[in-house]
Amino acid sequence: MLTAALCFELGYHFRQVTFRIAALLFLILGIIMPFGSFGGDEIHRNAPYVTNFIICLLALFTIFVSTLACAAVVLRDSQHRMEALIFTTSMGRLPYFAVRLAGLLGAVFLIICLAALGTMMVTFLAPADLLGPFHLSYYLAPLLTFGLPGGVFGCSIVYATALLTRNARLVYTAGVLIFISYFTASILGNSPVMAGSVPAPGGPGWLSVLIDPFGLTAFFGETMNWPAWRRNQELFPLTPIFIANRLLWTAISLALLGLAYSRFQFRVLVEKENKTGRAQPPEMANAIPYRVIGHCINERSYQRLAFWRIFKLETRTLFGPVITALIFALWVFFNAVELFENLSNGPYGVRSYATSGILAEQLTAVRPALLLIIFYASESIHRENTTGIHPLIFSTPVSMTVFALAKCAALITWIAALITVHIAVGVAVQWFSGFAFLEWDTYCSLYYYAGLPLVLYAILIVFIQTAVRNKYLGMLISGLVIGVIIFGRKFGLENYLARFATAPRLRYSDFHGFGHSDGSFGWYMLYWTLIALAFAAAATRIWPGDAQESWRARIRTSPTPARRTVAFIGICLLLAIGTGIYIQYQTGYSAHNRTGSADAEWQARYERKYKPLESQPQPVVTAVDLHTDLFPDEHYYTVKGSMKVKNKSKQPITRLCIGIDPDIELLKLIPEHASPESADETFGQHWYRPDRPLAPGQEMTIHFELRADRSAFKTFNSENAVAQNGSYIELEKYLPHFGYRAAYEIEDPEQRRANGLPPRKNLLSTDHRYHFIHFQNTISTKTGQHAVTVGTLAKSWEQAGRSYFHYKSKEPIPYMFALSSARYAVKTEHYKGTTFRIYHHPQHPENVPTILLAMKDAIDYGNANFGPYPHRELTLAEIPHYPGSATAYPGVIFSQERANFRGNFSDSAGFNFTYATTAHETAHQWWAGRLAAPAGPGDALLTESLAKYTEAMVTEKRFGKMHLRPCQVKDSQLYFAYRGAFGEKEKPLWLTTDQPFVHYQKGGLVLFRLKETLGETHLNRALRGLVNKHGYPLQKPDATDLIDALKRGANPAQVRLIDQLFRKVIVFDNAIKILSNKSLPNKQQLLTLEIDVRKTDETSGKPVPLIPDDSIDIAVFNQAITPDTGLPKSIYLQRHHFSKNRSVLRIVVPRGPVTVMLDPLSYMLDLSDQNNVAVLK
Amino acid sequence: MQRIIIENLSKTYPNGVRALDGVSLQIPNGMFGLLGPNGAGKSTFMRILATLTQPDSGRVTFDGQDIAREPNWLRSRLGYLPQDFGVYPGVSAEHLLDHLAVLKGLTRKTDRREQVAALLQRTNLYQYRRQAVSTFSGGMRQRFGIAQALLGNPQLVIVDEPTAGLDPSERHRFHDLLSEIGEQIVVILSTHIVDDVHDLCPQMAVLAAGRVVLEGKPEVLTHSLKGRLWRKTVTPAELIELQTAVRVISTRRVAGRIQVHVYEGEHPGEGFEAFDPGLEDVYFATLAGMGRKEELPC
Repeated sequence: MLTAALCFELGYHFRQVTFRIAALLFLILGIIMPFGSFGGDEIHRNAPYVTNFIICLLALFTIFVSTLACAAVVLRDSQHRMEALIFTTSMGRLPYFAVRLAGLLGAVFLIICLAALGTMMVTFLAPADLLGPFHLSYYLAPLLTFGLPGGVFGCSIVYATALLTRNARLVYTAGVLIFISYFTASILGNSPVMAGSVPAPGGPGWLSVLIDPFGLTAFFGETMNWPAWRRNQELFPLTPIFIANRLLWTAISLALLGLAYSRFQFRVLVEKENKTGRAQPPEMANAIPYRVIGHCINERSYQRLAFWRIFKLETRTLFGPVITALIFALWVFFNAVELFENLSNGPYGVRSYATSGILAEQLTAVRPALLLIIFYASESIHRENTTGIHPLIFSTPVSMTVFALAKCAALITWIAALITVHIAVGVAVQWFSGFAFLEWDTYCSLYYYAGLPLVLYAILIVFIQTAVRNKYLGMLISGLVIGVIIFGRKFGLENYLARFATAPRLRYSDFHGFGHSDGSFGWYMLYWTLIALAFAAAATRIWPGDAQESWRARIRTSPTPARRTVAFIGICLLLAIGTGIYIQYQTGYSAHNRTGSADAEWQARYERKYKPLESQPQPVVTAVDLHTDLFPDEHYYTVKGSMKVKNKSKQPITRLCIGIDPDIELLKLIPEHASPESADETFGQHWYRPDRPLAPGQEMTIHFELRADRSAFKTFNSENAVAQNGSYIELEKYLPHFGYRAAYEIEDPEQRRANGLPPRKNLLSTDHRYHFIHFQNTISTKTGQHAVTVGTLAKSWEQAGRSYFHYKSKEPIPYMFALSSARYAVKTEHYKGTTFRIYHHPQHPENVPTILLAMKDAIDYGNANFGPYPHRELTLAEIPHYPGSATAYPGVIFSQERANFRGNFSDSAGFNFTYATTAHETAHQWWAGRLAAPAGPGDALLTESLAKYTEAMVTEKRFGKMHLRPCQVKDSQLYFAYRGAFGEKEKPLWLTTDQPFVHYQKGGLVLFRLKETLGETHLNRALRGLVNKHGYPLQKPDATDLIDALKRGANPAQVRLIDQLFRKVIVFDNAIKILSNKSLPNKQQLLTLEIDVRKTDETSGKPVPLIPDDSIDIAVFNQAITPDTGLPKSIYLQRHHFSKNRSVLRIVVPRGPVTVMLDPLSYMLDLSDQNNVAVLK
Repeated sequence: MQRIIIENLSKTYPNGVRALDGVSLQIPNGMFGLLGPNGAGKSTFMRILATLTQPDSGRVTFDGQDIAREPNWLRSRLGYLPQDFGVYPGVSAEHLLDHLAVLKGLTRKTDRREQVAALLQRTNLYQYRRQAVSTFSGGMRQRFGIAQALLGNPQLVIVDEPTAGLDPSERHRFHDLLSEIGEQIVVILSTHIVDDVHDLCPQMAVLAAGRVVLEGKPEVLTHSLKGRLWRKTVTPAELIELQTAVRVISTRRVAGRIQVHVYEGEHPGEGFEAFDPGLEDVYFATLAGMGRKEELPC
């Protein structure tokens, strides 16, 4: 009998439409997902890592399957009032419980298996060079370790809820709750799934691994640093903490099921009575005679009153249940957690000031609310039919339009309440963070920026629900549609005009609020509101009044004529089309704007067509003279000017090939003594033939006029942004350029293959000359704003309501001349012959002293060690948006608002990131400004790595060496995290290219280690020698020149180390243990330490163990170490040489040791820093 | 005066069930009883009158207005108690009645309050008015349904199995209420209880398999059968024999034996006695003689 019951149960699941759709969906997802990005080219499409990743992620999404299946199948008896029949059959309590559970688990597990089956298909679909060997265990292991426990957990919660409450609503709520609980685990555990592409350094702590019910944190934490070969071969290891996690959650699942079994009542549940109870005394004192009362349904007041009453009842029902209060409480909790996380989640763990703007920008993300809206909207729309009151309601004369409007109004009220709660969270977080300057208008604007899109989505969901009629199917379709819209980018659906209620990302800055994106947001919202109104009109027309009527019948029989609705929909759509055309016109058709991001196909065509130009000689710019007019309110600028170019090659130039960026409108281009030959508008290429070929050494002048429209409709580019206040333009990238532009090439190897391009080769340029220029630019901008660019401000004046600034370089500069313009406050200081200026937002004075100090310290250090600073001024200007934290130009640094000016460094014990960044950018005045390598592999070693080194040295001089620890620990963690995420073979430092973690994080640490080994004097002597021998205007050096300079005067062991550090990829996984601790007389203690040194050479991509031959510091402290601050004074600090994997060391230290550290400054490139610290008990 | 004129009403559901097949009726003021076996199409007929379902063909007019064209005109003067209905959970009887009153167009608060209180008293729910209707027992819920059907100034009251689940005293209270209001308006009462129709309805019709098989005044109908109905008490074995010989319209067990009612123009034979027909016999005779409608002199 049990078998028959189970077969019936499973069959019932399989017959559900929702189950069939879900099965198909998971199968398709399984087939598609292996083609996504899993960290580079070398990872097989069927690698165990990929399969595990997919199964692990999809196991999480089975919650929705189990919730829907549980509500529809497990609760079928109570929903269809079969309970009385079922509970009186011969089937007992246990078989009932077991069969229902087994059916649910079977259905859900089958769906995960279908996804796994889908991933197997990749074997037949992907090209053979992207595939590794096939092993069944690659699929079975993740299914058993992730799929099954995850599924069981999800099912146990919804199943227990279903049995104990027999309430479908509560089952949905439980489903949503599990999903949200996953969000918590992710936030607390910094799971890379949530954090996007930037891996969190250091990996998650054991607690966050343990509390993640789906094991995602364990998976991503463990595999984060895995190189490609491990991802291709290894199954996920059953580490103790992972086993503990699985056991814990399986136990919790079983306990829940046990509880459900012991508590569920095998009988029909009766709704509880009201508090007032039944026992009221009869109050029949004054009998009121029944008399009929006339109606007045033709009055306007009737419609108003009906609307109001339906709205009130609906709102009461939406807000009434305890569940809603619970959901709001959870919403508060998770958002508060996320806001606090975000505040302290800057680069290198920098904390921001809790300003209203920073919080509001974060609060614009309300998408999780869509899940709730799907749920509430479907409940609301189908309420009459599910409760069974529909014949009473729909036989009244109430207009269906009034009914639909009242319900929508209630949903909108719910959304408004959610946004209010949302804002309250922001205000509370700000208050608790002690930054009490509340900008109410910024917060209130969230009703518009966050609330309006939700309202539009709600209308879409209402439309889907009214059109589909089946509640569950409607929920599933709504979820799918919204998923496609939100994740559209991943499927290539990029145009905002095709993604419902979506607009370009909102960016906040104290300079212009949401101002920059505001213009386009309004237009996109108008467009979507018009479409939503059309949906709303259609929805009211087909509103599911009575369940038995199809919507076709509803249209046919509705009392009001359809003409009016059709006309209304038509007008809305016409207006929407008009708006869409306007938006498209404003957006333009340039390659960069067509889809909202760079157009890969355009790039590929450019490369194929123009790559041959690369070898043709073209002139080089020697002087630039510009007039730039900036119109901040209108979001555009024009550039008029000329450039002098020179033929620096040895052949005469017969054809000029001038290119213009696709974002720029070329108004005029007149090379002197040359005539136009042809032009290719698609790629902005223009050919001119000089009247006489340009002979070697000969110069010519080119005049041009450009216009750049940077309205909010254009794809936002932080390097080419014009805002009402706070513009920043890297102008050198947008002037006419000569010959082939390699910057347009697609860099991502996967994308290159997809577009049929060969792998990209970055060859070392043979041109060792510096091409510096004479520069001047007259910038005009809105009155009240100040323009900053390279060179010296020769003159500034006001004319015709605009401000003018004439900048001119005193000495030749590299071809770099970005500019910014904003309403600035300025801090000026003259110090040792150099003028320091800091232009900043008037309300951002907090970090200005630190920045100034760093600029002065770095200039002092450079002057003393690398050669004189070439300019007489150093200016730093704050800019609202920049992908990094700052960027250096000759004599000017542009520094990003949030990272440097809104960072909260009030805790003086912490590492001051702004100080370090500013020192780093100032160091670029030498490492790029005075000395640079020819473009190609290894060039970044001479700019970024040397700047990182200088940054560390300047910081060390100011705060002490031990202060560097937090920064270097982060660098080390980031290095391992990025190389894991990158998935490609790491290049050694001297060939570094396209792998920023090599020349930034590793480069800085390697040079610091060399400085510790060779001494600061040796290193700086080598660097100064390099500047003297290879600095402008001499020949550029390359990475080998630096290595040779460092080797000069080094002993053989040091030479070996230099080669290892620059020419190899070597990492460590060291550990320290305290074996014993003995007190000695004369207040000393003998510590016996076990040091484990594992050194691995990964240059070839395969790990080769090496015998260590390295010196490593050991430090002992008489206090505990806190993670984010510098180290205290040590009671023992000594460098020890290790030539064995395992060594036992005895050291004598003064009494009272607490902490022993190996490599305390964390510069050895050690995979895990955690086992380098031992604490005495 | 005929207030409702129903012409040739047909309805087939998407699953192929032909619920109504050319129904034509004329209904005057007063109570109108609708009898019929399960699945005869009564509920569909009522839903069409209540404008909840649209017929495939045919026309219904009320006071000359086509109800398919002017559903809201009808709904504003309609009281409808469906056979089966639910309620919003957690809403009290008084509140829900008030809510429905608003939807029916009672915009003046004082009027509404007075009528709601009166109806709660008349249906014996006044002391439970603050209790959620969803917690009511079956009988109480049915009384609530009756109360809501009488809100406003209904000109057409459609009640589908209204007294199912009511105890005898409640049933009588309801009958009193219906008779009281039923003189100036149309009340359509669908039921299985033939006696209710007999007691209350001056006019009636029998619906079977989607067609009107009988229509008229109950007393006229019973009178027309006078002298044609015969009864006899028989054993089960005799019954089988009897069924082949005469037209048996109903059988009933009485103390272990079977009482047979037979419809024949002449004395059917030994042991049969004539009796005064009741409405139930009319009903059974009609159903037994379906397809031979012409033989019934109405």
